[in-house]
Amino acid sequence: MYKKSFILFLFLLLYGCTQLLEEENAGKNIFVGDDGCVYCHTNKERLKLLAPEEDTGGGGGGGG
Amino acid sequence: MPPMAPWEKVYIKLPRSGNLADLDHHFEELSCVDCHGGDKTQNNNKEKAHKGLIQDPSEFTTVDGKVSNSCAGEECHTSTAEEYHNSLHQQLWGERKYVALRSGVSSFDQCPQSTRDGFNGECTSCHATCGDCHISIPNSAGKGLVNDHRFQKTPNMEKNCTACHGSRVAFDFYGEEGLEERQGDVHFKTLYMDCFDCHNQSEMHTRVTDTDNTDRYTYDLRPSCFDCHPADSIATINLYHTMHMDNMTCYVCHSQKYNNCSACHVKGEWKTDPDYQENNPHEDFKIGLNPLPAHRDFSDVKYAVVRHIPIAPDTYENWGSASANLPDYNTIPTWKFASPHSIQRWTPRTDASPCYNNCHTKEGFGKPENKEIFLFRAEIQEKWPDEVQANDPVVVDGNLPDGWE
Ligand code: HEC
Ligand code: HEC
Ligand code: HEC
Ligand code: HEC
Ligand code: HEC
Ligand code: HEC
Repeated sequence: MYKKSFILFLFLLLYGCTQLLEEENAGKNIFVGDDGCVYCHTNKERLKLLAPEEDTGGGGGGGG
Repeated sequence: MPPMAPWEKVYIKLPRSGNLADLDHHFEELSCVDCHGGDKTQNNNKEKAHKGLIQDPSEFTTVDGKVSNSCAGEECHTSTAEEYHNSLHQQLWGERKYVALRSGVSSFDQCPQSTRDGFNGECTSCHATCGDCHISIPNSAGKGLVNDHRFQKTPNMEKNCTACHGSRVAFDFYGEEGLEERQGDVHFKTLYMDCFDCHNQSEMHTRVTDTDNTDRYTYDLRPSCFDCHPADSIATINLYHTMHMDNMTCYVCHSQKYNNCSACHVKGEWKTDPDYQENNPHEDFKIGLNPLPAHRDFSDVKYAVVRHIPIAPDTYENWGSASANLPDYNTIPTWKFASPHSIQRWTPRTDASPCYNNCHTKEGFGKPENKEIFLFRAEIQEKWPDEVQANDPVVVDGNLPDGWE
């Protein structure tokens, strides 16, 4: 029981750290991979910094 | 539709494998820049990366007279795109048709230049790109990826269809919690159908051939109540049908209150015109004379429910002097044939005892106050004096049975 809980805890810790890292690096220019589009558009924290509130599109529909 | 934060609209959640190709097969061979342009080497600079960005790759573009669409290409959706390019959703043939008719010409191409330019600038923003139905929320409804940039075969009813068909179909079809006359449509609420049970791929994709004469009620691929409720099986199923089915559209009995149009048209001046707003009912129910006696399903049917649309004699004035005058304004009703998506077996009209009590207006054989649900000239005269003549063919004056008026 303890062993299982501990392993679970380790996983959570690991996940938590990756999240922290992601957040910390969100605003920095650190990416050196081959597709910058994918890098940003799949990174929540980075998008939150780069897509400001006023960037929203038009109003409430139309159509018919 | 719950509002999306700006980042959410453009966020793609990587599948667990970390490989986009597992999200959707389009990413096996194509990368973002193949469809969207831009510069993928600008990893760390949004402005530079977005230089030359194509926001809507599935929009048709014309370069040197050649029409193209990034969904069309070798081994891609070339035939669909060719077909779709001339469709109702892409070209808005129905809207063009009525702009032309009110302008006194038989084809949109014959409208004054200023009207054509105005229309192309302001009205065509409602046309649908492939992506508006298969990938993202339409621009006019705020944009944003519907499902992590998957290219979805079946459109999303709420985020695609009723994002555009919001002010009318959505209200009627989904209903409104707590409002007695807004129960929603039985096909949705009770039978769990969605748009695609009745509106299919070929209706959405197919090109229109008779472009000057096609609109939503003449387009031959549209559905019909009779597709699923054949006339001979329901004609005598109850007394209401036996008495009236030949004489009125299904909606007269089976639809609830529905939204009448406001806003939208031409930069939304209507939204701020106090005269118009005061007299503009949002939800209402009106029976008039059938404005479309040639309707495929209701030919020679006398009564139909009608919906008010916002068009005044000077609606296009700000497009220029040639557009200011609509010579045939008075020949086309502004109360139009309606097919509200708010069907119920029992509605405030039929759920009465005796059965005619909420509909017939003759004292002792109904109630005079039922006149409310019929469209009379006096009401238009009072609220929309400019529109009296245009609606002459639709008002019921002089056309109800003896003693009803
Ligand atoms: C096969 C072509 C194709 C590829 C590859 C593609 N896209 Fe798209 N993308 C589209 C289309 C089509 C739309 C819908 C917009 C329209 O045309 O109406 C769209 C929409 C979007 C939107 C939403 C736009 C909005 O405002 O609603 C975003 C963000 C986006 N794409 C980003 C990406 C990114 C990032 C990649 C690479 C991972 C990518 N796209 C790859 C074709 C593509
Ligand atoms: C970008 C906005 C937009 C989107 C998205 C959209 N529509 Fe439409 N639709 C329109 C407009 C505008 C018209 C009117 C065209 C005309 O009359 O000229 C229309 C017309 C129609 C019509 C009447 C003509 C016909 O084809 O029979 C139906 C039905 C319809 N839409 C259903 C749908 C469904 C179902 C969906 C979702 C798959 C959908 N629409 C998505 C804007 C949209
Ligand atoms: C107004 C909405 C609408 C627009 C715009 C639209 N489609 Fe569709 N599309 C549909 C519907 C509805 C279906 C059928 C979905 C189903 O049967 O589940 C469909 C099906 C498809 C399919 C699947 C066909 C199959 O046999 O598997 C493809 C591919 C497709 N559309 C491509 C396109 C392309 C390319 C465009 C633009 C040129 C486009 N669509 C524009 C509504 C639309
Ligand atoms: C139970 C079948 C059914 C369902 C479900 C359905 N429709 Fe319809 N729709 C029809 C019929 C029938 C017509 C009328 C055609 C006529 O009168 O010729 C119609 C007409 C329309 C029209 C053109 C008339 C108008 O009111 O502008 C639009 C737009 C439309 N439907 C959109 C939708 C959308 C969007 C959905 C899903 C949210 C939907 N429909 C669901 C059967 C259905
Ligand atoms: C795609 C098939 C389809 C289309 C098109 C369709 N219906 Fe239905 N409808 C059904 C089914 C299935 C039922 C449930 C079985 C039944 O009562 O016949 C139903 C039920 C009904 C009911 C009875 C509801 C109840 O509470 O029992 C009414 C009324 C009705 N439809 C009217 C209409 C009208 C009016 C139209 C045209 C606008 C229409 N239907 C178009 C499939 C359809
Ligand atoms: C004069 C009013 C009226 C008109 C017009 C009318 N209906 Fe009805 N219909 C009713 C009423 C009321 C009921 C319920 C009767 C009952 O259950 O005793 C009903 C029942 C139905 C049912 C359920 C039948 C059953 O018993 O399962 C369907 C389906 C239906 N109507 C479809 C239609 C269609 C389609 C049209 C147009 C072609 C239409 N109706 C026109 C009043 C009307």
